[in-house]
Amino acid sequence: MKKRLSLKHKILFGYAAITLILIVLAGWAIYNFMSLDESIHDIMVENYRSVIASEGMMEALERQDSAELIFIFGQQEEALDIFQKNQIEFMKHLSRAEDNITIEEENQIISNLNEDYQTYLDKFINLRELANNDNVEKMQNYYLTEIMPHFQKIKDETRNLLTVNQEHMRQAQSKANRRATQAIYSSIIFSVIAIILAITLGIYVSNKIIKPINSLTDTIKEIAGGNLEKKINITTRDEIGELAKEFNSMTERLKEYEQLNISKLIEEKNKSEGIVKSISNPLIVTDDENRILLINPEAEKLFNLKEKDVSGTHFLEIIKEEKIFDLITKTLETGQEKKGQKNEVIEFTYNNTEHYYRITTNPLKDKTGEINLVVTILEDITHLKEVDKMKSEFVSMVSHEFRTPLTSMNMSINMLLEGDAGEINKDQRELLEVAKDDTEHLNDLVDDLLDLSKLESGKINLEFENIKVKDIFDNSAKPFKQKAEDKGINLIQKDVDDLKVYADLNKITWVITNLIGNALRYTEKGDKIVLDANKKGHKVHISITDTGEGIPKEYQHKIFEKFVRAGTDQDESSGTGLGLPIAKEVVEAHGGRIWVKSQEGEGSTFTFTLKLPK
Amino acid sequence: MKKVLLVEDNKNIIKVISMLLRSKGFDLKIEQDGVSGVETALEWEPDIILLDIKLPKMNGFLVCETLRDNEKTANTKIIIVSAKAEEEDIKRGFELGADEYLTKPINPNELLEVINRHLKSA
Repeated sequence: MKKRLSLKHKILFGYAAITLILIVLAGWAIYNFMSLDESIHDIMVENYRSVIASEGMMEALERQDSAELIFIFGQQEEALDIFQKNQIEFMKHLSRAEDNITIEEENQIISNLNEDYQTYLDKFINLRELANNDNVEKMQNYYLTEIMPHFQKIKDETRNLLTVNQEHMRQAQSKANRRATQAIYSSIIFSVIAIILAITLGIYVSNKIIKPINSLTDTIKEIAGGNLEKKINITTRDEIGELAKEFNSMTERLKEYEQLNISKLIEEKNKSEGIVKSISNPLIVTDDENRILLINPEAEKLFNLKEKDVSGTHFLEIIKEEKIFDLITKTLETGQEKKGQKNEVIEFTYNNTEHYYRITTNPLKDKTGEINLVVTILEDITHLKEVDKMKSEFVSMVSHEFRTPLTSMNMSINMLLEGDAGEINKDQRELLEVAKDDTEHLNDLVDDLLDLSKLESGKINLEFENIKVKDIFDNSAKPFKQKAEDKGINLIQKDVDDLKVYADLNKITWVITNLIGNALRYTEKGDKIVLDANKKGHKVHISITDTGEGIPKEYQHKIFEKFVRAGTDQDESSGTGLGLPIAKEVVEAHGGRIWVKSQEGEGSTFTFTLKLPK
Repeated sequence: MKKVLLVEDNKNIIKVISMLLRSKGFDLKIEQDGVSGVETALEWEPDIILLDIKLPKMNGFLVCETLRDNEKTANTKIIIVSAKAEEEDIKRGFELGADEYLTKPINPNELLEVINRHLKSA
């Protein structure tokens, strides 16, 4: 495996490169300083000493020359002393110059000087010999002819040495200047190069680090957005590369997990679809905008549709059934299961036969509790309807068949009682009265059975109108006024102002009549029967309260069933046992409900609800 | 003597009604099916006809319609006496020209009262 270059190493490498550039720059500067130093040294050490020596030699020589003149003019001892002193001085400077030969030309000059100075000294010895002869004139002559020119020569040579050195110094100075200028320019160039290199390197190194991080960030964003197909394409072998690799493998696992979930979901979906398809009742699933999502094969058959053609289309565009649609929208609004009213049956004709369906709509909530789907089931109640029809037809037929014999019985009994067939005695009359009572009872039973059968099959047409509760009470109470008075019972109508209901006057009057009739049957002298009505919310509650004997608890929930009588009711001939079931049917046909509250020995209150006027 | 035609197929009803009406002094003829009922009505021209609906050969509604279409019986009082007590039946009876629709069971006094009322208004 290739050794990976870690992020730390990359950063260190960058710094190292920049440091290297700095070191080179510093080296270059040091070199330049050293060059300058050399040049200065050239001037200071090499030439300056020679210049000093030259000047010293000149001075000594001048003094010696003066000493010679003094010597000529008589002060010989003093002159000799000066001469010798300066000879030492000269030699000292000469030897210094000799020690400091730095220029080619100097060699020759020094060697000449050595030679010429020796000659000069010799010539002074010659002069001294002349002095011994006291020949001033000769001395003067010698001086002028021999010593003076020689002195001049040495002086020239010394000056030459000075000039050479001065010239050399000048050269060294200009060299130093050049070097300094060079150093300035080269330093500038080097610095610029170093800065550019450092910046380039900096950008390169940071790019090397930042680019993968940026690429990583972008890809992670995309993956976080749901694109699990995306891979991080970073192949560097540093920490980021490692991170990218781990991230890719995490994405891979996430993808696998998602696919697992998807296959689970598909499985679940297939399962639910299978269940939906196997439901033998037509079923439609709609979303929160009433678009069809799913219909099962039964619904396809019923509406002559294909699921794939209608999926996503608005319900009413496909199925023009307002009743069903109303229930769906109600379920969406209220979030409650809705059932079609008992008598609200939808009729379809297909395969040339009539089919009846009862509708149930159920809300489906998502995890936040919002309703997002409505499941509508059309329960095929055709068979129930047929049974119902048969029952109704049977009841109707039986009732009709009862009526004719009842007529002849009734008429016969009445005619006998009227004496149309001759006089009858007291016992005969009593027996005939019994027969008459039961014929009438049988007749009532037939009437009630027919009414109930009509109500149950929905055949009865209600004529709704806005009516005053007071009118209903007046109509209902009128037939009982006399009877109540006779029995000593107080029949009270509460003041209900102008309260109105939306109902069928005759049918509701029948219900109240029936309830008053019942109340009268179970009350005794001194009891009260109270008719009252109150508005409660969107409904009107109508109640009939009596202070009679009440209904035993065990019968209270059963009294709205057919042929049920409270246990205390001994007088079976007094009612048909169908009054309350009919009352219940009528109230329910009005969209209301009826119930009873009763305390044995204290009385009963029958209450039912009606709608407020439209 | 007022002539009453009873068209009825139930023997017991016939027996009771004929006893009642004859005792009250009516001239009574009885037919037990629709066709004979129409024939007798046209021939005999009674003042009042008591007509059942469920009749053999021809039902009461048709009898009523036929009689109203004939000049001879166009104004004859027709009282339907039937066990069919549905609103639509009653409505149909009046539409076809019946003067009264009594639903069974009836009592003797009620029947006499209705007959006398219609005879008076004739």
